[in-house]
Amino acid sequence: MSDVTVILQAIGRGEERTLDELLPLVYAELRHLAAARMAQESAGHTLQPTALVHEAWMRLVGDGDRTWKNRAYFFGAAAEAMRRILIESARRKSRLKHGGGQERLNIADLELSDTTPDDKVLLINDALERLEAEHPERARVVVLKYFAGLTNKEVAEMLGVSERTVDRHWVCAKEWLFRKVRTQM
Amino acid sequence: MIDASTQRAEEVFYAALAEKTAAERRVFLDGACAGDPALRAMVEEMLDSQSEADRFFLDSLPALKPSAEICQSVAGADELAKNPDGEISADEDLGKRIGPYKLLQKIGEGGCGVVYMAEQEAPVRRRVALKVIKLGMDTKSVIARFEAERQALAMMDHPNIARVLDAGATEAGRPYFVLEPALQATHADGNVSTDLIYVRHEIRVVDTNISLTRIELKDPVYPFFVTLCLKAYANEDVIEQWTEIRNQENGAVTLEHFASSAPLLHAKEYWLTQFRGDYRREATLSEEKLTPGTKILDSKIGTRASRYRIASFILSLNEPAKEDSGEVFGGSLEWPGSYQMAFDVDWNNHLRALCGINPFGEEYHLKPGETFTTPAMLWTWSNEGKGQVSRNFHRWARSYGIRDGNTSRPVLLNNWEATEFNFDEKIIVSLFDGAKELGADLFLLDDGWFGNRHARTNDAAGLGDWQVNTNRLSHGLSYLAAQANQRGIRFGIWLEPEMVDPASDLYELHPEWAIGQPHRAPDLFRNQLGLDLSRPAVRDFVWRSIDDTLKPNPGITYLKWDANRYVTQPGSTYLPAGEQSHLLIDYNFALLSIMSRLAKDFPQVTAMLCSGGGGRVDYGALKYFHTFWPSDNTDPRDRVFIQWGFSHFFPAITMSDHVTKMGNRPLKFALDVAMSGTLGMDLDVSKLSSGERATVAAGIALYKNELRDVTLRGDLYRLESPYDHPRAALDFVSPDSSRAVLFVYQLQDAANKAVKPRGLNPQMRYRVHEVNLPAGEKSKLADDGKTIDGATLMRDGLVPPCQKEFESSVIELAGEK
Repeated sequence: MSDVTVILQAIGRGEERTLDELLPLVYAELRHLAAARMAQESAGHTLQPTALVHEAWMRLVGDGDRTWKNRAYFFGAAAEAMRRILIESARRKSRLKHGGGQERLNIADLELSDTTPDDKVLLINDALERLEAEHPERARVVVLKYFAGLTNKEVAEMLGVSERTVDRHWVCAKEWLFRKVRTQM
Repeated sequence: MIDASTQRAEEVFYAALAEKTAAERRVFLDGACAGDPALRAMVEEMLDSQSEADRFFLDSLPALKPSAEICQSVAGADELAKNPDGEISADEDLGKRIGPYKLLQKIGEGGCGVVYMAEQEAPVRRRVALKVIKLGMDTKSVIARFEAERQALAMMDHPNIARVLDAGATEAGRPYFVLEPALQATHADGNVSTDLIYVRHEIRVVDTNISLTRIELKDPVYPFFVTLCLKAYANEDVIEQWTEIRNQENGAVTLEHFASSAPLLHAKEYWLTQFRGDYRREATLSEEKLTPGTKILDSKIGTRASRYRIASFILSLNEPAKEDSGEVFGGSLEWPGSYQMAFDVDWNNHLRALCGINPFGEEYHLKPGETFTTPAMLWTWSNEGKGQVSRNFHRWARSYGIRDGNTSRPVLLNNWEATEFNFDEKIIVSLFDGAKELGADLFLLDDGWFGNRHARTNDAAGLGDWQVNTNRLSHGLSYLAAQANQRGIRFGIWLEPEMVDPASDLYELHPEWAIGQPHRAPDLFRNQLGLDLSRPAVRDFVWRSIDDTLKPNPGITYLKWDANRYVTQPGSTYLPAGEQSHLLIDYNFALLSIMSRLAKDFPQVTAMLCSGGGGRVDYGALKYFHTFWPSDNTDPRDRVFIQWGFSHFFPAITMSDHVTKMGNRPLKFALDVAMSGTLGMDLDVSKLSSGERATVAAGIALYKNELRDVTLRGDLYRLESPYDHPRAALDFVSPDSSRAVLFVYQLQDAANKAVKPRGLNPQMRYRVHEVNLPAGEKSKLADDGKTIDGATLMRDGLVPPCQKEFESSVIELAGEK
């Protein structure tokens, strides 16, 4: 039985084990998985968060556990872990892009656009931190959908709300975040 | 917290998104924001930025890219990689019924649907692939997951790939629809299910016009790989799609279904035009509205498979196809064998068009390490009607789809009408002078030049014995070629290399080389049998037949490749019992490979793809040819319809249109009809009057000197369809719009009305000049000789002097530089 299952079961029994214990385990697993997958890949390939998160669930818990509550805990932690990994990766690449790498570049190879996808992820994350203060439930929907790639249905079951509510939060949050981000670009 | 006014604005904003059109939204906002302009302003701002916000999020969807740091930071990564992936969860739905279907087994699962093997009990008992759409599917995350171009995604669909769908599901029930499977395989261990998950994709820029997208999928359990390939031609708006299936399992995998392409479309209605027919009635248009259920257009006859229907179609969205407006798709399979196009309209009004080799009787066993590459499906799309769809195909064909598409074509004279099987060397040489007199570039020696012990003097003997008939042609083929060359014309020859007559040396030596089935009497068609190209020795023989004819006779610079029967008894004495179903696939791949060798080894030989007429017209084979033979029916009245049909997919430069006496139509009418394609003649010159000879010679000279450049390399505009009008009209416009040729063919008596050309440069001034007039006659065209700007010509048209059946007019429009 994996540590994650032990923790999930403990939480299920109402014991004082917390999500904080879950997070480092899931984080490590996701990095493991990403590295293993990337080791087989060619340059230019990208890994989608949703694939990783679902794979981590299969590996750490497996399909023996069918309780939605455990899935909810797990995916909540996984989304947060995925967010950290993605932000770290984006920060690193953004630094390189903006001169941290000290690499000589041919001027002809430089892109004209000054806002890279990695920059966008970072901008969204900054705005998301503000949304977390103003509207925590809505921010949670964004974390689950944007960083973990979960579907409306999965998010709805985790948060115990209707899919329509999830969709409304997601649509409104995107619009809100975009208006905040736009001023930074 | 978000303040109350923002909260209210968000509610109205979200509700407004449910309104589809801008007008509906305005009405909704008028009500919801009545008396509150501040609220309305806020909501409208939200609505304005909403689509931009969507795009921004889509563009910035986070993903991990390889980086040295993340890979090195983890020890034991290899260990992890070796561990097989987790299995799909067992599904509680098995055994359940959905409508008339019982779910038997989960075949696969994608991002937005689950595919089951299901059993249908009524009205017929059969197994089908049933796709159940998942509730709450998030379209955008699906798009992002594959991260390929949207266009590429819309063009592909396999059972296990998430579709780009509006789920549109209600809580009351999951929508479902039943599909012919695009891919179905039995694995080496007998497992009949396949699950495919995305592995990687790459987009390779081939040149400034072409990009190749490869999307690799893999079964999570089996080393079974499927790659979806999309080659996009930007300038022509054409995409070629095919599928590569690779087996790395320990044993053979059986492929039961293996489509090339299966795009999913969404529209209110679909109008499908097929091009069906029979011998002498090829490419007849037949359009219908698709209704719920599956409509299948197919061919099961194995080789020269387009005899009863070509493997090409027009699919119009929302309304019947029009020439110059409306959203229209064109599809064409690059395959000379049996094909299947299955059109499924589901209850949400989505259409899936499954296109590929016909899986009927063609189950294929893929050995370990082998890759099966399906033929490519060619797609184009236009929102300016089927006229543009045709021009896209034509432009693509000239640059990529045929041999020497941007050059010209010789005018040939064929001896068949003059001699049929009755000729000798002297007669043939005597015909050269007639060909020369008429102005032909090339003389083609048709059937009957070969065979000795079983001389080919009628259609019952000799096929397979490709040695010159020394009685008839004692000096051989090079002599004939030299005689032709001396008169300034090229020399070409007829071959039917895939066939054998039972009365032949070849059949006496190798009866087992013919296609046929054990314990069944050979089913002769036109007295002949097809050769079994799945047998390597036969492939060598067929190639040698061609090579031994052309190589020793370099004077032969034209080849007419005929094929006069299809397969009625698929069976091979070469293939083992368990692989009989490979015959037609192996046959056609072998055929294409021989054709490709012909193109490669004999670049100087112009080649015509002939198959009794219309039997083999597809871009799989045309790649290695210059023209095809649309029909043995050369009655120009019928040819107007036949050429009209083929023109939807194949440009004039590929269409061999010959002037003959068939139908006894006026010679000018026959010439005018043939001149809109690649002109040739099948005439007995000795039987023509001197007036007729002069008419034909003048027509050929005109064609060569003035028309051919425009018709063979220009853009085609179909102006008036013979299906809806008492006449047919079309024009061709040169790539720089500086020249155009307008053709009008009167098919029934009717008052002459203006015909309006299209595709002209509105600003350019064109001199109007009717050509191909009988000697000494003046044009009755009122505007003949005038100079008129393109805009006026296209608006007001020209009134051609045609009223009576079989009158015709050819009008040149020469732009002033």
